[in-house]
Amino acid sequence: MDAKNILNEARSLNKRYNFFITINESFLEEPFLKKASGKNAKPSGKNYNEKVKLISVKDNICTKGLRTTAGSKILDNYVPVFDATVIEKIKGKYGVVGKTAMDEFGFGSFSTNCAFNVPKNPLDETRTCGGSSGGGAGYTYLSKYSDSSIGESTGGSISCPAAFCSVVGITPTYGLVSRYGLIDYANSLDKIGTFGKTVKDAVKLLNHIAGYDKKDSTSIKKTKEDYEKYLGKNSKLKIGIIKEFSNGEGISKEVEKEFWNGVKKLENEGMNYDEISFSLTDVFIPTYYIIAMSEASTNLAKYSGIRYGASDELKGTFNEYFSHVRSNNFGKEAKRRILLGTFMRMAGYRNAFYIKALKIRSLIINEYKKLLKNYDVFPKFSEIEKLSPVEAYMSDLLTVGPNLAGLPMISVPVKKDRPIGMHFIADHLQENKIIQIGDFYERIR
Amino acid sequence: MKESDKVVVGLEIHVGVTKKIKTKLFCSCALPEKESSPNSNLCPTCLGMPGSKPVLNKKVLEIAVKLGLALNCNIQKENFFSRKTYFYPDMAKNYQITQYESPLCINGHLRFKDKVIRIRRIHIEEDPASIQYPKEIDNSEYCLLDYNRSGIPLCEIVTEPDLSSAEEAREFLEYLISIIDYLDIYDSKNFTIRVDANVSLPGTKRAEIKNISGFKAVEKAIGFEVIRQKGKLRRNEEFRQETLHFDKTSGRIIVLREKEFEEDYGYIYDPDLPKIIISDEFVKKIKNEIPELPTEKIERLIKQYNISEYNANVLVSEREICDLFEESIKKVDKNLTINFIAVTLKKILNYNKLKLKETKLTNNNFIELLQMIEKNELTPRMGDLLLRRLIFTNKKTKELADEMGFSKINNFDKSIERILKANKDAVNDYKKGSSKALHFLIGQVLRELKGRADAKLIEKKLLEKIK
Repeated sequence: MDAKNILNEARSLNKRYNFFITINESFLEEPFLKKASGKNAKPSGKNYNEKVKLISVKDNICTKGLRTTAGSKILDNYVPVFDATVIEKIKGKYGVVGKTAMDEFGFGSFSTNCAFNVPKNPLDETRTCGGSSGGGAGYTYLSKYSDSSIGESTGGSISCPAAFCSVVGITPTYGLVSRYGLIDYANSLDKIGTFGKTVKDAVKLLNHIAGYDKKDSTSIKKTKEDYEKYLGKNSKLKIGIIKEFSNGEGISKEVEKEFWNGVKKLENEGMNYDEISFSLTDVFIPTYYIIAMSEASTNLAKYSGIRYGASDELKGTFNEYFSHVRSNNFGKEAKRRILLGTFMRMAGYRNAFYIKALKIRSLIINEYKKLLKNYDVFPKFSEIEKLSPVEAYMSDLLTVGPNLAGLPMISVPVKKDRPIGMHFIADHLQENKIIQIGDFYERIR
Repeated sequence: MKESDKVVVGLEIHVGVTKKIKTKLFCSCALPEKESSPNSNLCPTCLGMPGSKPVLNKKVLEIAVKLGLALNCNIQKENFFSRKTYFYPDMAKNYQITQYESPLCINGHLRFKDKVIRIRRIHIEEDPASIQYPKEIDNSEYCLLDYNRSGIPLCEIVTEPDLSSAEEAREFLEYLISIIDYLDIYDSKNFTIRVDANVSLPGTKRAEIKNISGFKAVEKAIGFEVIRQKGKLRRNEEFRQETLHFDKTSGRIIVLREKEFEEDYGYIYDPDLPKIIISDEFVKKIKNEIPELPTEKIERLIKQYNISEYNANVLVSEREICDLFEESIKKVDKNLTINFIAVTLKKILNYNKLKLKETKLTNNNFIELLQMIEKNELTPRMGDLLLRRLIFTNKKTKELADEMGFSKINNFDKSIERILKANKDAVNDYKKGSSKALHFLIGQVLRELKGRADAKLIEKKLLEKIK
C-alpha cells in the first residue's frame, strides 16, 4: 500500500463529499510512518510503515500544528499549540489523515450547521451524514484505507451519524476517555468515542484512547481494560426495550420494521427481551438542551478576538470590538444557543431552567441505573426530513437520554450498508456489554 | 452622631494565597515573581486556550480552610466551583472560576477592638490577568495584558457591612493582615492584596469601589467616596448603584458604570471540576496546624509574663517578634528584653520599613547582644548601634562588636583626670551645686571614650575624684 494513495483518496472523496475541513497534507512526514528498516529514508511512498493505521479525527479535537476549527469560522485560522490527550495516546500507532466536518462546535444533529462545506451522505449524496460528527462517519464508510475514526458526542453526535452512514459508533461512559484538548461544547456531556467499519475496528481504536488522564478532572480512575477481549463472545445478555421509544410516534414504518427484525434475530439466538417503561422521556429534550446550552454559552465566551481565532481591526471599546468579532464569525445556530443558554442561566430564570434541569438530570440517571440493574436497553433511529429548529432538537429524543446519564452506547447498522442503526445502551463502565452485544449482532444480522 | 455620619462599609478582600504553594490554582504553571517579565508564566489553561481544562491545586483547599478556621467560619462539607461569566479584557475565558452557591467558609467573625466584624464568606477563585493602562482607566486608548497573574489562587474574604468609617476599615485590614501573616499563607513580596469597598450612607445607594490596592489607599478611597455621597445628598441628586474606580495617583473617584440592577453573572456550576468533599478529619488536621493567633497570644503574654497590654501588643505585631521575645527571656532578663524589643528593635525596623522576618537577625545573635549588655560588656547605646548593623549581616554579634571597636572600657581613670584638669570651671560650678556641670563632665568623658563606657560608672568615678 502506497501512503500517497491514502492522501489522494482523502482528497478525491473530499471533493465529492466534503468529509474533511482540513486534510493533513504533511502526515507523510510524520517520523513514525517510516519503515523500521529505512532509518533515514523519507517516509513517503513505499517507505510507509504498514503497521501504522490511518484515521480521521473530528475537528473539535486539538492537534498540535494542524488547523483545528471545531467547524467554526471563529477558529478558521486556529492552529493548536498542544495535542489533545487522545492524539498523544495514538501517536506511533495511528496517523491522522485529516480533521473531519462537523456542525459548528457540535451544535446540530445533521452536520448541516457548518461554517464550512456540508458533508454528504455516502449512501445517498442528496442526504446528510447525520451529526454532529458527520464527516468522520461518512469517511469511515467510504475509505478503502481508513477503518476507524475519532468522533465526539454530546447528545448523540456519534450514534446518529454512525446510523446515518451505516458504520459502527461507540460512545463510551462519560469520563472513560480524557476530554483534555477537546474543544468544549457542554463539558458535563461531552464524550470522545470512535467509529469503525466494524465493531472490531471501533473497539481497537477505543482501546488506545481510553484511560485515566490527570489533565482532565472528570476522567475516571480505573485500571486499563482490554476491550478486544469482549469480541467473538456469545454470552447471552438480558434486553429491555423502552416502550416509550419503540412505540413512539413520528418514527418511519421502515425504520420500525428493521428495528423489530433486528430484535427478532437476537430472540432467535436465545436472547429474550422485556418491554419496560421509562417515566421521564417527555423531559429528556428540554433537560438536555437547557444544560447543554447553558454550558455552551459560557464555553463560547472565550472567543472574543483577543488571543486566538478570528480577530478584527482594533476599533471602538472592548465591548464593541468583541461583539463585532462574535457577530461576524459565529453561525446562526451558535448564536441561537448562546442567547438561549445565557437566558436560561440569568438571575430570575436560572432556578426555573438551569437548576431544575440539573435536578431532573439526576432523576433520569437514577431511573436508568434502576432499570439497568436488570437490562441492557436499546432504542433506535429514524430518518429526518425538513425541520424547524425545535423539530430538529426533537430528533435527538432517542440519544439524549443516555447522553445525559453518561451511559456507554453502541450503534451498529441493522444490516450492512443500511442507514439505520441498532442502538445498545448499558450501565456506566459496562463497555464490555455493549461491545459483546454489538459484535454479536453484527455477526447474526 | 448625626444620621448623615453613619457610614456603612463592607469589604471584599482578595488575598493571593501563594506562600506555601508552587503552582497556580488550576494549572501547573510556576507562580510568577514581581520581577518576572510579562507573559512569561503561561500555559494553555491559564490563557484559556480552546480544549484546555482546569485541574485543582488541592493545597489551596488546605490554605483556605486554615484561613476560614482562623476567622471562626463554618467549613462547608460539599464544595463546587462555578463559572462567573462576564466579558472583560483581563479574563482569559470571559468567565472566572470561583465559588458561588457553596463558598468553602461561611458565617465567620473577627473580634476587632470592641466590635465583632462578621465574615459572610470566604471562597477560592482564580485571579484574572493584570491590565496596565498607559494613562488612567477612563482615558487610555489601549491597555496591555499580563497573563502571569491569570490563575493565581485567591481567597476572597467578604465581610458584612459592619465597619463604620474609612479609618476603621483601614485598621481592620491591618489587623486582618496580621492574622494572615501569622498563618503564613500570603507572600507580601510578590503579591498585593486588593480590596473592593462597598460604601453607603443613610439615604444613599451602595457604591462599590473596585480593586483598591494598599491599605492607606482604601482609607483614602472610602473617605473620598463618603464626601462624594454627602455632596450628592446635599444637592439632592438621584442615587444609582455605581461601580467606581479609585485612581491612586490623582486621588480621583471615577464612575465606571451605573446600574439599575445587580450585575448578572449567569452562574453555572463548572462542569470541568467535580464536587469536592471536605471531611471532618481534614478540618481537624488543619485546625491543629493553626498557630496561636494575635488575640489569644496577647492574653497569654499578659498573664504568663505579667507585662503591660501595650507591650504585649507590640510583641504580637509580628509572629517572629513574639518568638524572639519568648526565646530571649529564657536566657536574659525579661525587662531588658522587652525594652530592647519594644523600643530599640521596633524603632530600627520602622526606620528601615522592614519586618523582622525580612531581616538577617537571628535569635542567637539577638540573645548574645542582650547577654553582653547584661554582663556590662556593652552599653545599651552600643547595643543599639550594633543592632542597626546586625539586622543586615550574617556575622556573629561578638565578631561585629569587635569589628566596630565595641568593647566596653572599664578602666578610664586617666581620661577622668584629663577631663577634670581641662574643665576646672565646670568642677567649680558643680561644687557650687550645678548638676548641669556634672552632666557636662560625664559627657566629655564619654566623648573621649567614644561612648564605650557606662555613664553611671563614669559618674561614680567622677564624684570620687572631685571629693
